[in-house]
Amino acid sequence: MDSIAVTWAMMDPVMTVARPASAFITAFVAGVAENLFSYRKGAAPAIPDLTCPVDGCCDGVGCDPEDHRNHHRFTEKLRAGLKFAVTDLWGDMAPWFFFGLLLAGLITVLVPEDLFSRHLGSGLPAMLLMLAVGIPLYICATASTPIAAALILKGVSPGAALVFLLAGPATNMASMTVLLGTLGKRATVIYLASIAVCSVLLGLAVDHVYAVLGISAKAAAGQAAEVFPIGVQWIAAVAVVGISVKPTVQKLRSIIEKKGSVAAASKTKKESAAEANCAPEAGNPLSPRQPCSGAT
Amino acid sequence: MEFILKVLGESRHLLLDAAVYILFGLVVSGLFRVFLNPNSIARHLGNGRFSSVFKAALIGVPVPL
Repeated sequence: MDSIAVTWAMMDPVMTVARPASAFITAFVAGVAENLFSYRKGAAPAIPDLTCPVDGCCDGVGCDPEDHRNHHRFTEKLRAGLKFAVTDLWGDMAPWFFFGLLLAGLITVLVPEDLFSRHLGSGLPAMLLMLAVGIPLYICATASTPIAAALILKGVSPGAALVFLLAGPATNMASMTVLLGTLGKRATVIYLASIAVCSVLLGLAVDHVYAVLGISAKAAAGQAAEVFPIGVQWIAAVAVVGISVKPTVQKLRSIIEKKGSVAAASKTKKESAAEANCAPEAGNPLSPRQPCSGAT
Repeated sequence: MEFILKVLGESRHLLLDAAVYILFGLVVSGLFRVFLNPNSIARHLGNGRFSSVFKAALIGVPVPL
């Protein structure tokens, strides 16, 4: 939603329409591909788990859901839902997320900024390069818009910019590690392939539209305003780190136990201790970063 | 050393960017879990190769992530 608004503000009407439409098409194709390739014919339809999500007081089979509807108070449900999100959902994702975060940081540091402007023009090679850059890059829809606008200003074709706009936010190292953990290797490969093929085809189509209409892409490059004030971001970051420490430490511990070897164990233990020190560190603006990096 | 600090700094920057959305996503999925009826979801999104995906994609586009 916000990214559509930003596209309107920073680019032209063609891109404003093309972007959400392409996002929809890409999502649809990726979903259908996922279903086609992993569709089991005759497989029983998923049986919904009707067990009471609040405290399991009713299994949904022996009791009528209608009777159960008003069993729990609103606040009880709210608390149960948040607890599920923090412990179960985020518990599975947190270690992957922080691994991806470090990878993404590594890429951001290693990939030079002028790579974009020096090597990207138009046509298929440019789009493939956009894919190669956009897929691992950690960037949100809103943040990718000013970059795409700047690229267009520097002579990159709008289609290639659209590839970046689609592949950038849809995929990144962090989300891929989470996908690998939650959906598995096969689904992740299908997802990536669908996004790659779709975004390149759509990019070529958009370039064609511009050529047919005989217009050149206009862009107003500038810095989009931060969506959230920095204070809110810090509070959220501290909260995320806070709920991540326990599952991450547990995950690291289970990895160490799997390794078994004494030497390896002592080495990784040191690393995990550093990580554990690091985690709250990253979220605390007041504490110096020195001890953390020293341990590493 | 400086390199590691730089990487950690970038990671922290990305965490700041993502954190609000992570919390938002977690809260919404937690609410889905307790307030949505699993039966109605299964009816709309559980079967069919195309219709389920079409609906899910349509819902997904305006979600600000």
